[in-house]
Parts: sequence; structure tokens; C-alpha cells
Amino acid sequence: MKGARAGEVAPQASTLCRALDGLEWAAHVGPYQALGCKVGIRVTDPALGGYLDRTLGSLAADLAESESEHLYSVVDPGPGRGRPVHLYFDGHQVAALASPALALATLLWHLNRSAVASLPGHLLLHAAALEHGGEAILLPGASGSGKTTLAAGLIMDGMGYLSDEVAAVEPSTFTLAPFPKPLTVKEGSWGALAGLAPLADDVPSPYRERQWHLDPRRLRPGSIAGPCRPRLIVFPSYRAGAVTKVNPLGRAEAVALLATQVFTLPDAGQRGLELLADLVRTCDAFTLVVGDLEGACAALRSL
Amino acid sequence: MPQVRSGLALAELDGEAVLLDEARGLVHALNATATLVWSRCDGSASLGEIVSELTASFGGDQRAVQKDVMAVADILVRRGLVEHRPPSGGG
Repeated sequence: MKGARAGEVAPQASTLCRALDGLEWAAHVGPYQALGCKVGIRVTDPALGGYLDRTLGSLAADLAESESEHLYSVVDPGPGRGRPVHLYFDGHQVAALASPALALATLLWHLNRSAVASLPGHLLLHAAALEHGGEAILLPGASGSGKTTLAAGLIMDGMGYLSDEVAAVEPSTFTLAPFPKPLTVKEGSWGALAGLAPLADDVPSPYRERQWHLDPRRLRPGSIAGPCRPRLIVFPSYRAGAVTKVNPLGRAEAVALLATQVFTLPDAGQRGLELLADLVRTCDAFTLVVGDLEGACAALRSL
Repeated sequence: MPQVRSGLALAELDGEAVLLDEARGLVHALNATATLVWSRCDGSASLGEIVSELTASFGGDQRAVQKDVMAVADILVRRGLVEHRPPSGGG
């Protein structure tokens, strides 16, 4: 398996792999393509397998199972049988989780992390990305800025979905690679997206947590967009009760803001900064104060 | 003499500078005025000389220009983007 270095971690990992291979698996799901990471998942709990199969469908890759390069293993001893739930990645233990819900959240978090690690040559931004008219709109922002809520609203409005979390930009063409992961809607946004609650209703009870994971295709069939170049960079900030307002942003300030939302920069120093500057030069930049979802979607459509 | 700190990465967009201070993990966006002042902090001119140069280039009241330049220079120094260096001895 990838990641194991001969003579170092490999012997221990391979022993563990053999032990894991000997377990009785209720389901194998995938393979999924998370940016450059081709991954399968096996679980001991059939309820989790069914849920993952429904939820991660937007990442399903047109690959044979044997083409998976990585493998998650989720081992749940079951209630009354000495939980924690154990999560492994390529035979290495990621974590022992106190509950199935925490195990699910950790698995999806680690999948995002693996996606980010899979494209070291790309510019990877902490941003939602939508497609409109064949061009991309980047919505960079820290957790809580409203990226996912906006992405959900814009998908339902007819825009294409690229990601709610990671914008992967190829550095020579600035083309965005889609990462159409399930939208992770936190509890704070459930009110604004109340109409989507039925879509989040099929979580097996031990896996219910304070966030929804929504397949974008259930928000709007055919919503997943293909690769495209960005035209707009809009920095959202959710403020409860505020008046929704969009303001133009100078490009220098846009570069400085964008630099705070970088997961991976292919080059450090001067070359890295120039890459961010070149990306911003190809786009118009704005800030967006989000007071209400409908107004924010309308403001974005008008740009 | 004010001098730009070494080791900063620079990008300029629409006459405004972005400076990446990797050592401190900070990024700074300068407006057009701050960019003008910052770009003249090369260790060869005092702040007074920079004020005179900018007044001659762009016109305006010298005292107003001086006030702006001093305010900007103060911010640049506080952010660690410019250092004051003693004038080099002329012999």
C-alpha cells in the first residue's frame, strides 16, 4: 500500500493489514476519487456501509475496485462489545473514536485531508467553488464564513458544484479540478437550509451528528460541474442580522486575503506569492456580507 | 535611513503591493500611498528626503505629505516591513 516505507513502518502496517484482512467485513464501498486520491472503504457495520454508499456517491469514480490506491477500514465492535470504533487508513490506525458518529465525522475529515495531500503540485485553497456560465466562482473563507450554505443555495439556484471546502487550482492554466464531496452543513445553517432537512434524514441513528452530509446531486440532479477556470473570487462572511452587501475588493487585498486560505502552495516565497497574484489578476474580487441566503445568492448571480 | 526589510516576497497589483513575510507567517496588503512610501525606503534616503521627493513628484502641500509619509512609515516599521538603519559613514 502507498505510504508505507520499506524497512520502517511497513512491517508493522502489513501485520495490521493482514489482521484487518482477516476480519469479517459487512460492506466494501467505493472506489471514490477525492481529487488525486483513489480510495475504497470497508466497514464492519452494514448500516454505515449503506449510508456511505448513499452519501459519497458524488465522488464515485469510474474505476474498478482494484484501482483503489488507498483503503479505509472502519471497525465497530458494536454496542456492548467494547467500543471505541477504530479507523484505519492503509493499515495504519488513524484514531479510536468513542462513538460511531465521531468515527463517521473523522472518516470524512480524513478523506478531505487525503484529498488535499493528493495534489501537492496544485494550489489548494480553503474555498467553496461553483460553476456559472462555464466559469468558476471561488468562495474562500474560514470555517463559519458561510461557504457551504452559500454553495447549497447556489446549487439549488442552478449553478454547478465543484466543492464546498477545497478549490484545487492547476497552477499553469488555473483550471479548477472538481472535488464534489458531500456538502457538510453545520447545525448553525440548518435554519437557512430547512428545506433540505429531509435529505439528511436517512442517517442511521448511531451516526447522527451535528452536521448534515448532503449529496449535491440530491440538491439538484446534474449539479456536478466539470473543470473550469475562475472568473470571480468572492470572500463571504456570515453575519446574523446584517444587511447582505457585496463590495468590490482591490486585487492586492484579495491576494492578502487569499493567502490566509491556502492549504497547499506549490512553491514557497516569491514564486508562491506570484502564483496567487497571477490567479487574482485573472479574476474580479469582492467581499460579500451574508445576512440572508436568498439575498446573497441574488447578489452573486448579479456579478 | 528607512530600509525595506530583507526576505519579504513582493507582488504588485494595480499599483498596490502585497508583501509576504514568511518568517512571521504574515501577509500585508499596502494601499497605493503606502506602496509609494515603501518602495522608496531603500536605505539611501531619509524620511525627510522621501517627503521632498514625493512632494516634487506629485505636488501638494509639503506638510500634508509629511504627515502622511510619517504615518505610513510608522505603520510599516511597526509591521516589521521597514527598518531604520543608521546612515552609512561617508568617510
